[in-house]
Amino acid sequence: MRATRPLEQALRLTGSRPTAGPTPTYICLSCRARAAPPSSHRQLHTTVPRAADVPLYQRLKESLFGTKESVAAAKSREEKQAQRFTDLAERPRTSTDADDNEVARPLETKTDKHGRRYEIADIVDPAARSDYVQATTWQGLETVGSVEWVKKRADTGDVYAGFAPPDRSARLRGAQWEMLLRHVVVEAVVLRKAGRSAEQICWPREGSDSWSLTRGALLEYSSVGGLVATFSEAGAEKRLRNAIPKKLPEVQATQTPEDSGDQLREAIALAPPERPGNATPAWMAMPLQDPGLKLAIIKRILQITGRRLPDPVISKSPTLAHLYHALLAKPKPKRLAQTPQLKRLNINIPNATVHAGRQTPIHKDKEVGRWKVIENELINRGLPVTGSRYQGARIGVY
Amino acid sequence: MPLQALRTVAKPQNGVGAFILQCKRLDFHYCDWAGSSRGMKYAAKHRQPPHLSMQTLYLLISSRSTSSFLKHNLSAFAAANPSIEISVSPRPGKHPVIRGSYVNGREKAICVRNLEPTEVVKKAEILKSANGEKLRIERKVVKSLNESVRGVWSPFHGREYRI
Repeated sequence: MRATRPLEQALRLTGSRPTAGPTPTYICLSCRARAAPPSSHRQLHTTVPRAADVPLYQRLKESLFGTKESVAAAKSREEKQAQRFTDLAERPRTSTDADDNEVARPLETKTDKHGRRYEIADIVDPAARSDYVQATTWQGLETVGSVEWVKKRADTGDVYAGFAPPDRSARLRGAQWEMLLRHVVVEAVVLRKAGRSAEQICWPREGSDSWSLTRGALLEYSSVGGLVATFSEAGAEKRLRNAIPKKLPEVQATQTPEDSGDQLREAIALAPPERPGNATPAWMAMPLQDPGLKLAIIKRILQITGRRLPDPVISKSPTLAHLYHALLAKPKPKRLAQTPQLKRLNINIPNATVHAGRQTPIHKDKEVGRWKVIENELINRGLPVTGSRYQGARIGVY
Repeated sequence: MPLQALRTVAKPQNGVGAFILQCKRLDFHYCDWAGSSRGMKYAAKHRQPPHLSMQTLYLLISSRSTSSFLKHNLSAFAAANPSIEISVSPRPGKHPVIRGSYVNGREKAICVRNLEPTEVVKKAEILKSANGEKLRIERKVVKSLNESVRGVWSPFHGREYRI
């Protein structure tokens, strides 16, 4: 310890060295403790250093009746409170609004250091107001600090609104997917021919007969000319072009689930019979090298069916045929019981049974025929059939 | 009068006249989410060789380590054992287990967590070929229902021994 060095030096300087033998360097613990600074002392002091000058009777008097400063502060607080009461009493209770109607006086508002505005509650002096009745319960009073109060004031953050409609594509067959893809591609081809962006097929439009117009179109693909759409009806191409909006509306209307369902029904109506094998029509050989066109087609399909293709599938689809096969592919079953192997097991093997859900003791009792007896007896005795009677118990779940 | 033979009732021995398989039910439990059920469930699909009996087919399939048991091996196992009731059901959040129920009313379970399909097959075979008796160490090597042929020794019957 550093404090021992001056102590050692002091001892040395006093000359208290024995005549014989070497200079003693050992210092006992009590001398070291005394030489150490007071902050390192581990003794418990019951007396506060600053009160050591104040006599005991003075300290007792202050603890019982308060110091002069505390008494003066309390007195000034009471005076300020009384002054506030008189100010409030003098202020008018009501004020007039713009129509000269009497309205209750608005509460005083202040702004805190963080910039938040808050209202100061009105002070009611019971002595001044005879109609004031102090509440005996908290029914009907404003509660502050409850969970609901916090949630009401809390910032909910950004509200997320989903953009994709529910996926309705599970029931579509190959021919129906082909019809839908054909309709979207015809619209995109028509716009590209007119020099417009393919993205416009995804813009919201109100009520059009574009479905019937695209059905009458003939798609032909050639490696030289690309994909071309020819219409048998005169003026159909122009009507289709005009049906697709040129400008994005300022207030974008969100597509309701009913709209996407109606569009899907329109798309798959009058679908041709299924093609044998995996054969695809010739126009599906159109390459999708233009990313804008590819994404416009995928987005339009998403808007109508709610079907989202994974990014790796999109990037690995060079032609329309690849997109078509990706849309046709059924998603992998999420549960083992839904796989075709186990479904076949359930059907073909008579001694094997596959259950999709967890088998509980109640299921075992039902197989044996014991459960109905147990259930009747529990009901007769007024006992819960499943679970217990705690709040939030799930009823009817095994 | 000649000695009358003792009339004894024939003692039933499973397998002497008829054989009754002691395992009557096998329950296969798995979890769709947990990785320990992989050997029971997931696999790369493979082609089944044609023109083979169910037993051989089952053995061949079970020897492929990448195949899952439930998807590819169980159908052959169930077809090869028509007297056993087989049930497949998920048990979410638990390790895969095979539970066998026996004629004597007892049950035996083997946890097949993190096992390959071939190993799962072996465990299923163990349960199938077991009876419901508790596992015990066999101290006596030879077992017989017959009484002692020459009689059990006692100090009271026999030649007196003298040093």
